[in-house]
Amino acid sequence: MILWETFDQNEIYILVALVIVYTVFFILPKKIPRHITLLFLVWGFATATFFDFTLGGKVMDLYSVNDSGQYELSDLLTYFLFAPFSYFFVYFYHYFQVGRKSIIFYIAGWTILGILMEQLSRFMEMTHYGDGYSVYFSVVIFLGVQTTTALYYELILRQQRKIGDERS
Amino acid sequence: MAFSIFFVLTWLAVFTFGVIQKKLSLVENTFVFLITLIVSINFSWIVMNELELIKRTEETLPYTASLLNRSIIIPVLLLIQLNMSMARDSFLWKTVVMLSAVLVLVGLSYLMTALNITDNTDWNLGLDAIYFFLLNLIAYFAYWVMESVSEKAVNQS
Repeated sequence: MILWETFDQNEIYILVALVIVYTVFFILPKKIPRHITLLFLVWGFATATFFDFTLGGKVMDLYSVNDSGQYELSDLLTYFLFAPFSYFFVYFYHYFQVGRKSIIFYIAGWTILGILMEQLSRFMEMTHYGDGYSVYFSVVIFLGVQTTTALYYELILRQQRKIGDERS
Repeated sequence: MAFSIFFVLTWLAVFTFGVIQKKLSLVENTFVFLITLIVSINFSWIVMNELELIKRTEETLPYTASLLNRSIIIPVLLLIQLNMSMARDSFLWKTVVMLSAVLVLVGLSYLMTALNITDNTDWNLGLDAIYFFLLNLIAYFAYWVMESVSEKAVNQS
């Protein structure tokens, strides 16, 4: 494990993005219960870790993050950068009261945002596509992850309503 | 063959978790799963790729078997262990369940070496046992954290 290979634009990009993202996280009025907030922060972190170490891992090696194949501190910070995005996803899902009619547009919107963020990350040399990887694969990943997140959040809401009904 | 064996074990672990009586809520189970997943992925990467204490095959199917073990079997077995240990308040019961889980996880590590998925060059099963014991404690800690935060949320509402 190393801190970073060279401290340059990708590290600066990660640090600036972390400050912006976590400032927004703390500024936003709290509308989601604390335990659900904590769960979705970990959900975002785990999703980034899982895909990076699976698709970006040794044998598949479809993409890499930051400067080297070694585990860098900047890699760990990258996963912390992903954590609040899962929270924002469910936060605005709740805020806009996304339902059956609007969920497709909501997920499509987040997928476009994800792709744009990924292209910015490529430009800042945080993300590097490997041979054979293209942005179309990212569309599949974003659609899959966001659909799972939305369905899972709906499942939690149903369970919470059920518990609430049983208590009342 | 290694892939098929680990695929069956993955199926067995997930199916067992699906049918056992859950003592943890959906949120608690997911939280513990995600925390143990993060630790399991990071630990295996650091030990295998950074420190090179364990050599892992680069053949696609056996490699995928190791991914199944790292990302599904280990976290799901810890969930089964946690749900079973919460079924009774007895300290002895919890200890027996935890030690059984460690034994099963060490058995899986042995199976990985027996099937030539991994090669314990500078590693041994004793170190695996220590790691899995600590991972069990991390699972308990994650459960405790989520339970504490959930209780606060209920008390505040």
